[in-house]
Amino acid sequence: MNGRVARIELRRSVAPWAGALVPVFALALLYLIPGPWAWDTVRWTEQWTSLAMWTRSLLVFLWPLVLGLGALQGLRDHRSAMGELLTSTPRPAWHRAATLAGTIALTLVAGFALLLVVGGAQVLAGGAYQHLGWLPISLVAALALIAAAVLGMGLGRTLPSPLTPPALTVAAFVFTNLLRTAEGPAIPSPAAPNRLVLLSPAVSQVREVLLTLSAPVHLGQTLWLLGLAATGFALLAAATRRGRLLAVAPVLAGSVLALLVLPSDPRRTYVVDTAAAAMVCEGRVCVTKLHEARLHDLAGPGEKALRLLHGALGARAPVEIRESTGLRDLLDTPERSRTAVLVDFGDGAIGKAKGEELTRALLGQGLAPACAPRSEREGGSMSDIVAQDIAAAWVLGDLKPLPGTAQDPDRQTARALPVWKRFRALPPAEQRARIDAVHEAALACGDSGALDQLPGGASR
Amino acid sequence: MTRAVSAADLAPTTYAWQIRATGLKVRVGGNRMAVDGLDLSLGTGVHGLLGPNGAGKTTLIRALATVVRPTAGSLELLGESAGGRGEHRALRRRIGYLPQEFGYYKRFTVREFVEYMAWLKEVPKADVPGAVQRAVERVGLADRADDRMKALSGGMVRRVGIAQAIVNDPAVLLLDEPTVGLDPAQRLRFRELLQELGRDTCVVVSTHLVEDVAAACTDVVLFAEGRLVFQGTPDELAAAGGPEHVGDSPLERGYSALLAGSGRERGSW
Repeated sequence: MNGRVARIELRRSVAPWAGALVPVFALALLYLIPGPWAWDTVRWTEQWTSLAMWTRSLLVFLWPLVLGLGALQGLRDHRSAMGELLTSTPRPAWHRAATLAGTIALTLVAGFALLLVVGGAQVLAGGAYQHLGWLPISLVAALALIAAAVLGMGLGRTLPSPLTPPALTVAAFVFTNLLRTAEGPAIPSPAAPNRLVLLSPAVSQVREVLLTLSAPVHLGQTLWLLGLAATGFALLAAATRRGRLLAVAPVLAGSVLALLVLPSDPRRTYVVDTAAAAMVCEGRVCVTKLHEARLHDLAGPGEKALRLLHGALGARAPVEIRESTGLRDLLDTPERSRTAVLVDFGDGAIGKAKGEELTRALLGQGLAPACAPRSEREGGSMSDIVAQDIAAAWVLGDLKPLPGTAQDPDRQTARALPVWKRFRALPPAEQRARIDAVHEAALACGDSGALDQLPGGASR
Repeated sequence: MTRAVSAADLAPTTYAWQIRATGLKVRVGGNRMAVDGLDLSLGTGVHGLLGPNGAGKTTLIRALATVVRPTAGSLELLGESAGGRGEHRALRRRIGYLPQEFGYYKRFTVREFVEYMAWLKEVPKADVPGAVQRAVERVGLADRADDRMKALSGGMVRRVGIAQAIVNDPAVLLLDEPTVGLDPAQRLRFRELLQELGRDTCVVVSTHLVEDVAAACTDVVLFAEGRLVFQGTPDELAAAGGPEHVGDSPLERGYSALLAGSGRERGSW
C-alpha cells in the first residue's frame, strides 16, 4: 500500500466519516439515551465483557450504517465516470481496491478502538474483573465493521445506483433486527434458527453479566465475516462479469464453513464465563471473581448478618453468604438455598447498601429470601420486601424499610407498620414460630407467601 | 526537476513506429465496425486525427489506449502487440490517455488527482512528486494545484486531464478532443505544449478543429467511416483543396475535397 495514496484516500474517501460515525453514534446512544446499558451491574462500563457485549450489540445500528457508507464510496467510480481512464492504467485494480479498503478499515478500527478506550478507561477505574476473554468479542465486532464497509463498496460498485446505499442500509437494518436475540430468557434466545441468527454480527443486550460468547461462535462468525469481506473486495476489484460472478464464491464458502462451526443451540452460544463465575471468599462470605471488588464491603456486614441469623434460626440458619450465579429467565424465581444466603448485586437493596443497612438487607434476604426477583429490570414485589423488612426488624429490634429497590420506602413502611405492631404484640415464642413459618414459606415460594404468615399480612 | 534515467529510457528502441496498425478492425456495440481495415504507421511527432463525427476517431483512440480490444488485424504499440489478451502492464505505463469524456474524482485536489493517476500508471514512487509538479506546471495550473477538482472551470478540468495524461512521460500520448472547453488563449498555450511534447513523443490528437491541426501538428491523419482517407503534412492537406471546395481556409478546403473525393461525407449538413 502506497502511503501517499493512502493519505489521499484518507482525506477524500468516506474513510474519515466512517471512522467518526462509529464512536460518535455509539457514545451518543450510550450517554444520551437512557437504557439498560446505564444500569448499575449491567452497565457498559462496569465489566470488560459487558463493555465488549454492549458495544457489539450496537452493531444492530452501526453495521447497516457502515454498509451504506461503504456503498456510497463504491459509487465513486461510476459517479465520476472514471471507468474509461482507470481501464487504461497499468496498475491492477486490486491495488486500488486494497488501498481504499485498507484506509477505511483503518479508520473503522480506530473509531471502534476509541469507543473501547472511552469505555475501558471507566472499566479500569471501576475495579472490574481483569481478563482478556472479552477481546475476541470486540475483535469480531471490528471485523464486522470492516466487512460491512468492504461489502458495501463492492456492492455499490457492482450496482451503481443512487438507491443502492439507502436500500442496502435498510435491508441490513431489517436483517440485524429480524435476527435479534431476546435477552429475557436465562440464555438469550432468538426467534429464528440459532445458526442463522449468528450470521448477524450484533449480539444480545447484557442481562446476565456472567454470560459470554463461546469460542465456536467467534470462529464461525469470523469465517462468515471474512467471506463477506472477501466477496466485497472481489466485487470492488472485479473488472469483468466473470470476476463478479466468481466474487460470490468466498461468501458462499464462508457461510457454509460458518454454519458448520456455529452452534445450533443458544446454550452453546451464550455460556457462563467459568473463570469469572469462580467464587472468591472472605471467611463465610463468597462472591464471584467478577465482583471481587465488592467482597471487602460485603464481608463485615455479611459475617455479622450470619451471626445474627444463627441466633434467630438456630441450627436451621444459613451458614454462608454466596453470590447467586444461577441463570434464570426474566421474572423467574431466583435460585433458593437452605444453607446459604444468596445475594444478587443487581438487587438494589443489597447492591447499593453499605454497613448497617447492608446487614439489615442480608438479614431480610436470609430470613425471607425474595421470591419475586429484584434487579435493574425487575421490580420485585411489595409483599416480599415488607416480609424482609419485618423479619430483619424482628432481629434488630426496629423497623426500617430497605432502600434501593423499586418499592418506595414510605409505602413499605405504610404497609409494614400495622403488621409489625400486631406481630410485636404476640408472645415471643409465637413470634419465633411465625418467623420460622416466614422462612419456610419464602424458601418454598408457594401459593402462601412469606408475608401471609404474619398477623394481618395476608394479601388484601 | 530532473528524473532518474531508467534502463528503459536508455535501451535502444526495437521498433520503427510507435504505432503500427495493419488491417485493424474494431467492433463497437453489436456489429458495427467503427474501425474497418485501417493501415496506419505513426512515429514521433504530433499527429492530428481529423474526421467527421462518427468517423471512428474515438474508437481508434480507445483501441490505441488498450481500452478496447481489436476485433481483427494487428496493432503494435511501441513494438508490442496490443491485440491479444493480457494486461499490457508494461505497455500501459508508457501510454498517456485523455478520454473524450474525462471523468475525475471531484473531491480530490488537482495535485492529489494527478498524483493518484501517477500511482495508477506505476510511476516510480520516488519520481511521483516531481512528475506531478512538472505536469501541473506544464498545463499552467501550478497556482490551482491545491484546489478541489469540483471548483475548477471546464477548461481547467481539461487541462488537469492533459496533466494526468503526461504525468508518466508517455512514449505514446493519446488526446481525444483535448481543446474542448479551452478558450483561445489557452488553446495557443496548448498548441505550444503539443509542439514541445511532439519532439520526443508520438502524440495523437483527435480534433474537429482544423486550425488546431495547422498550428500544432506535424502530420495529419484524415479518417472517415473507419478507414484512412489521407495521411500527410498539413501543407499536403491544404494542397488537396481548390477554390471550388467548401471552407474558409486552405486546410478546410483540403479537408472537404478529400472527404468529398472519398464519397464519405454523407449525412452531414
